[in-house]
Amino acid sequence: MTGPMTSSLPRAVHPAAWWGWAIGMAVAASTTTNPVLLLLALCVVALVVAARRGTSPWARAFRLYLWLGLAIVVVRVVLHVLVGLKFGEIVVLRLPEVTLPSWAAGIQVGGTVYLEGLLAAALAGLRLAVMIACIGAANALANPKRLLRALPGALHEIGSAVVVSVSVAPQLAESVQRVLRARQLRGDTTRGLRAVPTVALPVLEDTLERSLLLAAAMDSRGYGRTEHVPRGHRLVTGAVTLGGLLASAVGIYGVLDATTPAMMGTPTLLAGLALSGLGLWLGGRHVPRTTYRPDPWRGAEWLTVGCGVFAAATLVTVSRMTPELLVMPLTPLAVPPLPLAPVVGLLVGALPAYLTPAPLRPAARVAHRGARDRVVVRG
Amino acid sequence: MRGSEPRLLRHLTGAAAASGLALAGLVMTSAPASAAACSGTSGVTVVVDTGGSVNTRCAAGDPASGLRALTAAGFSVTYPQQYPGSVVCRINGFPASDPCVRMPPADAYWAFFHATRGGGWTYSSSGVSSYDPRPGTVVGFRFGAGQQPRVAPPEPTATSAPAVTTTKPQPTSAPRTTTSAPEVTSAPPSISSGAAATAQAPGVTASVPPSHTATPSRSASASASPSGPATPTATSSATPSTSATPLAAAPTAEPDDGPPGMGTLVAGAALLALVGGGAGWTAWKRRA
Repeated sequence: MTGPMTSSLPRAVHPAAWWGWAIGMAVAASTTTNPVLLLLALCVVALVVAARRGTSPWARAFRLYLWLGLAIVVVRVVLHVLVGLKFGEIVVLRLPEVTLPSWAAGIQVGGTVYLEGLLAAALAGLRLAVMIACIGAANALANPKRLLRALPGALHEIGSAVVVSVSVAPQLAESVQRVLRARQLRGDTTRGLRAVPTVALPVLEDTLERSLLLAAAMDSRGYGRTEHVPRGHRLVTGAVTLGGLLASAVGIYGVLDATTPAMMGTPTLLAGLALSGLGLWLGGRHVPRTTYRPDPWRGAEWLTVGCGVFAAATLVTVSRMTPELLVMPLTPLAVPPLPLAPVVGLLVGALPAYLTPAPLRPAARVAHRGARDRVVVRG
Repeated sequence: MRGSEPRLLRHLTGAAAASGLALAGLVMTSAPASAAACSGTSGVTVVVDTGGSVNTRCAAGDPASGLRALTAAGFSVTYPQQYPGSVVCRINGFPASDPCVRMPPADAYWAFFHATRGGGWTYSSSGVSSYDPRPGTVVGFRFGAGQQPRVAPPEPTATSAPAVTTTKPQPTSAPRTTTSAPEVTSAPPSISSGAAATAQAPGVTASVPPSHTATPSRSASASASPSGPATPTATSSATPSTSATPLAAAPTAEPDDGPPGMGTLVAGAALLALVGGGAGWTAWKRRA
């Protein structure tokens, strides 16, 4: 079941698949300072978000990430002009320079701004902005609650707690709006600080009521039940998990520090990850838990993750083989190259916009109750 | 044997200084290391030691930083992708093995030194782009694990000397026949073919005792000493005048099909417009 088959029926693609795709795109963007490739990655991400985002509140958050990215670029450029180390040949702006004492070496306050340095700062900011846009795309495309449901069994209690806490803010906002609307219907149009006491109490009451309802609902579904686990088994699970986490920490340190012995690097990290996985599996074995209508992982999910991995693999390979193709040529300044392989890799990242099933719309959900065979899509 | 020679050399430098030409004549080839040092108290002398060859040039005027002295002396600099303008990754394309994406490793990087003329090297505590060398001083770059350049900072001179790339042949290749350098030019000190000579450097084992012990007379400093059939000096003399400007000698980081021009830019813009337009159209269609 791939492509056209699955895209005929609207359904939500597995959130983990969207995260895999987005991380792949972010890795691809992190390898380059070529502005054409960075903007292409941004356009690809925006295209997929525009085509496949749902109608939930967080699905509209992508624009916020774009504004955040723009702010990052602006701040990066302004900081470069104010305190950055200027380099280059083409003078853009002559500013007076403040002479700093020797212990502040490395900071250049003011000074002549060159085009090369300005471009380098802007492109470094753009690269970070594109990576943040990729994460924003994952947030817009993937339902966080559904992602938490896919957690391993040993972590399901943490998952429930996180779901409850991330639901608080939207529910509170909705509650406030509901109370305000009710007051307006009764002719009470007090606004500002004076309205706080009359709004706060109903909202508080509403929150408490909801919490009790949620607790009752969770209790009736078996949350919080624990099965008896033998003492020895618990100890083994704890030791394996703790050892795995420790080995992972040491392994990450070994990978990042080139002076440590080779054994402390990748082998330790892999062993730590394996131990952690084993610990999670051992702990999850004694959690009696089922998932209501679990998200399927079908061809569309493999395709989505595969496109992200392909984009990342292409750019990482190119950056290893011919890194100059991914770099904006600054010394001397030149038109950025347009290499074929990275462009194809990034364009493959846009395929989920067309080959995955369309997201569910509210109209479609209503239609599901009556006639399952006729799906009415608004628009 | 060859790999241990530089380290051995550093240990021997003191002995070489003591025994002077006798030892140099037996074991090493003498070197005119201060060939292209600046004259008087103007300009900043730049010493670049790849570990295989030493290249001394002069940056005229008062460069604002060690980096600017390096480029003003005609060396081409490649930066790591992540630290443009602040870290030196390659000088004249050396080392080609470093991909120049991240910070170069601690055992294979360009260490930055500064010194007074005739003084001793000081490992710089500030970055290559933030250290401001005074006119009449020396900045040195040595590739390796942070060792000093293997030549002492050139002593102060009163007269101008022409630019010579002092690349040394192997001692075992041929009997020494000192000839005059093929590329001796008059002032201003030119930067001819430094890139070609230095790019050849890894295969060359050089041995450079401090110049003030090996070459007592300044007049000898205008001559290089090529010997043997395939020395780097032959390469450098093959392209003496093609590199008229410093930047032209720089190996540019561009694809083989020549510098991309407006066509590439237009193609990139069209691609971006296509994908970005698709995104905008999809978003607009969904809202409608």
